[in-house]
Parts: sequence; C-alpha cells; structure tokens
Amino acid sequence: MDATRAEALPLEVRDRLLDGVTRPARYVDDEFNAVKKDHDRTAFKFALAFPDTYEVGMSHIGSHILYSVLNSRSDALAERVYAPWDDMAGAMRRAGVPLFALESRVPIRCFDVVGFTLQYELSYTNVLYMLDLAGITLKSVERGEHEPLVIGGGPCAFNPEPLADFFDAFVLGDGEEVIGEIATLVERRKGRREDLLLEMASISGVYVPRFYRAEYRKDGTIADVSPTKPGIPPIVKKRVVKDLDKAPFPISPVVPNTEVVHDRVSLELFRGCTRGCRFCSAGFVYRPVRERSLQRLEDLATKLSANTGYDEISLGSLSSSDYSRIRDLVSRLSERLSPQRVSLSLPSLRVDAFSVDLVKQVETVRKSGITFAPEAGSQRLRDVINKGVTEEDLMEAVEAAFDAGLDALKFYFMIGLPTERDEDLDAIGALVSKVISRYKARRGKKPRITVSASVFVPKPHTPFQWEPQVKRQEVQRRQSYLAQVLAKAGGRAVKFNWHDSRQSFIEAVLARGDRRLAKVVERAYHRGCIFDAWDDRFRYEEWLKAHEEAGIDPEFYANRARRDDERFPWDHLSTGVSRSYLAREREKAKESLLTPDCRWDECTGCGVCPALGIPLPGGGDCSW
Amino acid sequence: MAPRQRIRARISKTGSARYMSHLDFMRTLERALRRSGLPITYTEGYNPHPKFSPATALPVGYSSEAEISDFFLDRYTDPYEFGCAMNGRLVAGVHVMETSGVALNSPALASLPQSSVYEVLLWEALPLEELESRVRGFMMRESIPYVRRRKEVSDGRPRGDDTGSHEARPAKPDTRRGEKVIDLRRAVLSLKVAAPSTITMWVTDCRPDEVLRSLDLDKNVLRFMTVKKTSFYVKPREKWLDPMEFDTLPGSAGRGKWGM
Repeated sequence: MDATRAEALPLEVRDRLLDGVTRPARYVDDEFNAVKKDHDRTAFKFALAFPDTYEVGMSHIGSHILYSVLNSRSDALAERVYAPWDDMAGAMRRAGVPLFALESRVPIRCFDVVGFTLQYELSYTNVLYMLDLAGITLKSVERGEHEPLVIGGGPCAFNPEPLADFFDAFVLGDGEEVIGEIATLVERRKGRREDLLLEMASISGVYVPRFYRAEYRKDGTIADVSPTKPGIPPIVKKRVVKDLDKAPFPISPVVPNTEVVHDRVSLELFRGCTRGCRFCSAGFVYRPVRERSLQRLEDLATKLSANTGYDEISLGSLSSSDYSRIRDLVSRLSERLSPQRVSLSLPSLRVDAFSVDLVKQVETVRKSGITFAPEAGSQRLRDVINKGVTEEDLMEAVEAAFDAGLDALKFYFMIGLPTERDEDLDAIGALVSKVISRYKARRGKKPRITVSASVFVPKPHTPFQWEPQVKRQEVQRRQSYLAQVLAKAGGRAVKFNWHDSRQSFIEAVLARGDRRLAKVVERAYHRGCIFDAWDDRFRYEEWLKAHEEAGIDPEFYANRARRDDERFPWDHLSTGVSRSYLAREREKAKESLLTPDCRWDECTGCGVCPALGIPLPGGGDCSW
Repeated sequence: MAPRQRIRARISKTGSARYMSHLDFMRTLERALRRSGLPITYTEGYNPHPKFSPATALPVGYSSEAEISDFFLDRYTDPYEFGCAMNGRLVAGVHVMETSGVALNSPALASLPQSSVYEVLLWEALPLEELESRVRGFMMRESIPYVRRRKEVSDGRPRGDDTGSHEARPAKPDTRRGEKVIDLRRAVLSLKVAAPSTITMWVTDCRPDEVLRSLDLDKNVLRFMTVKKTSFYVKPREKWLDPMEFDTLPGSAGRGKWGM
C-alpha cells in the first residue's frame, strides 16, 4: 500500500460516520456501473463535484457525460463527490475526516482537479462548504502548489464573477472535448501552479480569472475587465461540440442505490434551443441547435435500457417536442422498449396539441399529469418575452389534455417580467376561468388546477440583461394580487404556488454580480448559509447581513436598470451571441415584436454560428 | 398473462448494500431483473413493474444472508439459470445465494408467521459474564412490554425504521401517532451470547435493537453494532421451516447455490 492508497478512508471509519445519519446510502459507493480505478496506476485524477446533495447531483446528465468521458481514458479517473447533509458533515468534522470521493474514499484534496458544476446561483455557498470540508484553501491565489486545481463549468460559468476568487479556472460551454484537453495538460504538469494556469488559459473555452483585472467607475459600474498578462485572450469564447452524433454519450451511467430526484435515465435528443424566449438563459448560452440522429438515439436508448434497468427513459432537451423527428423517435422507441415495460417521458414540451398527443403516445398521462408553461397570462406579455404561444395553442393543448382523460392540469407562470402590469395578472385569471369552463362543459364539474408562479430573475447574456428585477415589496404585492385573481377565477379548484421572492432576489444579485460579491458569498457561508436553494434552508437575514458586512448594496445588482452601453461583468465571456443582437431583441420586446425560430425560418442574425465556426442550420450566410 | 414459473431465491445484502432502504433494495432487484432480460412477469395497470414478492423488509444498516423473495416468470426458466443471470447484473453486495422452483399455488411467504435469526456484534468490548447475566435476566422475565413508535428526521421525511422506548409510564400507546405496544419477551424465541460481544437471537415480531435496548446496556455500547440476519423461517403449520425447503419443487431440476 503506498502513500495515495493509504489515504483512502478505512471502511470501518466510514461505517462509524454513517451510523445514525439520514439516508446513508447516498454516501457509499458500489452503485451499478460505478467506475473504480487504481489511484496508483492512474496519472490524472478528477473529482466531479456537485454542490448539492447526492439526490440532486445524480440527476444531472452533464456530470454523467463528463464521468464517462474521463473514465474512458486509460490515463485518467473521475470520481464523484456531493455536498453532505449537515448530520454527515458534523460527523465528519468531529472525526476529522475530510470530504472524500465516493468511489475510492480518497480525500478530494488529493485529486489533481476538483471540478464543480454550477447549475444555479443558490448553490454558490455550497461550493465554499465543500471546499471547506475538503480542507482546500478557499481563495485561488492562496492555494498551495500541491492543492488541486479548482475549476467550474455549467450555465453559471457564463457569469462566474461572484465566484472568481475561489476558482482557478472556469470552462465555458460544452465540456466533453475541453475536459480532455485539460486532463492532458495537467497530467504533463511541470513547473509552478501559476505557469500551469497560464498554459490552461490558452485552451479555447478556458477562463482563468486571476489573469484579468476589473476596474470600476465612481458610480460603482464596471469600467473594464482586461487581461493582466500578454497572451491572455481579452474575450473567452465558449466551446461547442459541433457534431453531437460523434460526441460521446454515457451508455452505462451510474445507477444510484437510493432514490434520487430524477430517478430515470436521460437521453439528450439535442443541445441548444433557438425558440428565443427572451428571459431564458439556457436558450442563449447553449446555442446553436445540434440534434442527434434518429438512428443514434435509437441505438443509445436500447443500450441505456439494457445497461441500467431503469423503467423510464426521459427524452431530455430544452424543448423536446421540437426534435425534428420526434414522432418517429417516440413510436420507434415505444415499440422497442415495451417488452421490458420501459416508459418514455418528455420533460419539457411546447404548449400545443401536438405535444399533448405526444405525451399521450408515450405515457399514461394520468400517471404524471401534465404541465404547461405559457409563462405569461396575456398575449401582449407573451409576445414581449417571445414565447410564441397563442391562446389558441394553449386552449387546443388543454382540450387535448381533457380528451386524454386528464382532470388535473398544471400551469407555470412568471411574475415580474419586464413591462408586466396588473392587467397581465388579470389575464392569468381569465385564462384559468376559460380552462375551467371548458372542462365544466364536458364533465359538469371543475378540474383541479395548479398555478405555479416563479419570480423573474434577469439573467446575463439574455435580451433582459439590462432590466431591473421588480422590487421585492412590489413582487409580494403582485403575488397576493394574483392569489386574489385566482381565487375569484377558480375558487377552491385552483391551487396557487408561488416562489419565495427573497430567494429570487438573492439569485438576481448573484446572477449579474461582479467580483466584489466574493466577499458577500464568503460571509454568507461563514454566517451559516448553505443549501440556499432548499426553501427551508434559505436564510435571508444572514444574506442581508453578509451584504451589509461587505459594504455592498444588493439592490444595485438586482433592481437597477442598466444603461444601454454599460460594461457588464460578463462582457469578456462570450456565448457567441452578439451583444448587438441582444440589444435588438430587447428593443423588439418593448414593441411586443416576435422573432421566429431559425430552425424553421430564416436566420435571425444572433451571430453564434459564424462566431463559433459552425455552418448555419439552413445553409447560407448569417444575416448578422 | 398468468405466470408459468415461480422461483424462490435467498439473497444476501451485505457490504455497502446494507445502507439501502427496503424500497432501494426492491428497486435494485427490479433493475437487475430488467437488465438480465429474464422473462419476468409484469404487473398489470398503469405502472407495470416486475412481479416478485419479498418475504419481509430489512431495516437500513442491517446486513443479511437470508432475504427471501419469490419471482414470477412468464416462461419456464431454470432456477439455476435464473440465479446466474441475476448475479451477472446485480450490484456489489447483493447476491443470489440459492434458488429453487416453488409451486405456483403455494401461499405468499409474507402471509405466514415468520422468524429470523440475527447475529449482533457489539463494537464496544464487553465482559462476557456481564453480557451473559443480562441475557439470563431477559430470558427469565415473563413479559416485557415495549412501546414502539415511528420516527421522523430533521428533513421531515420518515426514516423508514422504527424506534421505541421502555418508558416507565404505563404502556399505553398513542395510536394516533402510530405507537403500539408489543411484548418483547414473547417475540424472542432464543437469545444467546455466542462469543465476547457477540449475541445471537431468534426472534419473531421484533427487531434485534429493540431486544438489545431491553438489556439495560450502556448507551455507548448500543451506539455501534453490526447486525446480520443469518436465517429466516416461516411457520405454515406447527413447525418453523426454512422457506427454501417449503413447497419447493422436487427433483434435481433447477436448484442453484452460489458462494458469496
């Protein structure tokens, strides 16, 4: 047994830790398809960290992809690590056990790289929590030569500035190719940490925040963010996998031993979405659309089913019914998988009758119910956000759902969208009344309706990146106004869920934050904020105190309207979509003008294809 | 379609697998069945799943070499082949140890009186004499009332296991809170100190930790222990029988045994 191996946490010690903790199965290895490699014989060791619980992290498909990409290399290993619940963290601290990876039980501080997936802003304090539990120095520049590189990826990496102090590097865009380039580079690691990072900064898609300096104006806005060293790119462009058919996909993903949030296997039909909903960050950062071929998907689904034994395959994508051959795919897969009683699910659907028919085809709708997301109640506001859904679409979808025998429907809306007025909330009530009366006409009673309303958070790299978030008091007024409207529209038939406006406020601060917020995140963590995305764990007062201590006004970030030409903290990070396109979309929003989807219409000139060297979906030149 | 074949399997759940809850364990078997491609019978209805019936549920944290389950199949399958196919597709720690064909009309194991033998290893070293005198004391009593209640944990989800108390108050359970009174003494068929810090017990309607808590041992002693179920019995008539010997089909066809 040599030095590295000896560091693995002995089983007896782990078993003592697990005695009495809630759901211990989430801290043990030995799941089906887990990959265990010898640390002594593997040059490059990567800890894939998800800053939330095992149940949440195991539901994330991106982590499964990277896990399989890294483990398919003979010179590399990847292991998983999640945020332990308090009881486990307490037991670990008392026993002096640092955060360890699931597969080998080796402390993650002994790995070469710890890579965090950044899926939502309210997971930021959990990053510090995990680094702290791991015994890894929080600040990037203070880390020792032998500490792992801490890198981050995922949608939040497109404005990672509030976390810039804690990360050595971020990866922008699709990770499956660039992660291999990082592995190769780190494996050859020679010389100092600083030199290695310098080399990493030359990999396309890699952003090393320490090589950039941010300067601020007197009014608090940013003057410039620029490289401090020669050879460092002034703008870091995201990476894209050009041909998704050739990209690796994990056909033997790890099957958890305990129930997780999405307890099914995911098959990614396509990446990106060009519907162009103006509030949607994913719609802009994952462009352009790249589909997998029908044949490849069929092959993958068959293998996934045989290798995992799951009873459900989720046909995932940003808008699954937009897959160009979705009907063929659904009927072929249903036929192929029915002997094993494997069902299909379509997690994100357009609001129309076509989509409802699809759902009817793949699953017993009674089982899961159906959710429509018109996002806004009035046609005017739906046009502002470019949702591209008419009331006719919606009512057709509702009728189709009733045809399918459903008597419970869920609707998803957002409160606080730009230009929203009380009339738009009234329109939600009118819509609900209409749905109820349609149902009544058929069955003579009221259906069960659930209306969920989140709070709009303006996101970077979207046409609404300039917009202020509606102030909290006003959000609360609108929430109770909508509650009254819905009570009038449907009485007890309508259940209304709304999102905690305080959580959305902190999310809005972090989403468009800059480097000065590092202090706030750190103080919030030290004040006990972890698992902020969990409603019952979120501690608003502590977040406010953290801002106060750092001398930072959160409203400056959340509620301020930006000047047209304001320099944003994320302007040196490029999704490929041009800023001028976003500005044009913003103008069109103000006039309720729609922008079509370039998959079925002409090029809208967002600039992503030429910027990333990808041929246009319909051929020809970008109209940008 | 009515099943054509019923196979009884004795399955082990050891190592990391002992941290699975009963539901986790059920899902694990279900997925292994799907992966194996065996002609398992599926239940009817909106949400079909492989048809098998476990005899009992094992608490989280216990290991076992005697989890018995009956599997129903659409086509005749050799029980030995069944075991091999499952073992090739199961997770580490879960293993089919023995299989046998069973008469299709045999009663469900879960409907019969049941008993289990557990081996408990206390991590804290305890003098042999002390342990033995506690055990004697327990066995000499005529009745030991015990209030069993369900427990909730901090995140609001029930943990899926029971806890109880021997509070001095009269054994009147709060049924609204899911409490009930059992007689522990009657539930214990035998209780022995097998070796220093090792107890074996044969029990019917109670759990080993409930028995241990009635031995008046130090709290710290009870904090860490390893529990393993080593045998399981059912009583279809007057005698306790090994389910692998009960209503199993005669003949050499289809018996399988595997090492751990």
